[in-house]
Amino acid sequence: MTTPHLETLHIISKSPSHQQLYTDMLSATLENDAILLTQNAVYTLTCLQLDALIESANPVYALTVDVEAHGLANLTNDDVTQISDEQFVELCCLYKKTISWF
Amino acid sequence: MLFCYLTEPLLLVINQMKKNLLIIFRHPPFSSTNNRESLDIALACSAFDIPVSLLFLNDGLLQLRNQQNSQLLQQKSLVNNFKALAMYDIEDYYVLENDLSHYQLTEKDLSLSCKVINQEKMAHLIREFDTVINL
Repeated sequence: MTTPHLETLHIISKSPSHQQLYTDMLSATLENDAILLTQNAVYTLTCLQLDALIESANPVYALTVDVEAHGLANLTNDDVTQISDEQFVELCCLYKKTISWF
Repeated sequence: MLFCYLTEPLLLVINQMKKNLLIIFRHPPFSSTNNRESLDIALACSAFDIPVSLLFLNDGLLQLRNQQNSQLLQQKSLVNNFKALAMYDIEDYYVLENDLSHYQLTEKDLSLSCKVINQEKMAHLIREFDTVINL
């Protein structure tokens, strides 16, 4: 079994109302790229915009601490993997590079 | 300044690993210090022989518009700094054809001679680089 080559981890921290930022990020996203929702970007879990993210990136992650802090713990989604701070660090090491969108 | 925190460890890491660097400019002129800091990073990295390329994405493109007059706002323009980049061996500049048409610009309206790419090419361009800074 071969594990896919992990390319870019896109880290986004702005709320979904920053549409251009999301558009830019999605147009920079290719196969084997992942997206991580941090800070106000976790509000994406509440919007339809989330579908576009799930479609473009595999997988989509969200930082548990931000999800819970923003009161979104009840909005669990099978397509979004929640991760701890430690796993965040791990992911940054696993992927070839990270790009922050803010 | 952000630049001070970022640059020294970053330079060490990048230079040790002989990596190349893409810097993405996304902000219009006179709006924030991000553009100047990105430019500082470009110059610093180039001084350490790190290959640097620049991508001007959406509003970032507006920085390259000809005929800006920053003196009217009592600010310094970055245009002249951009024009001097060639002296630091930074010669690869990319803009998106979508952004050009969105702002009704042509390559002639820009103060640098840029490579025009489409969105698909941009995603692959980003993938090619070892390090991407997106301020």
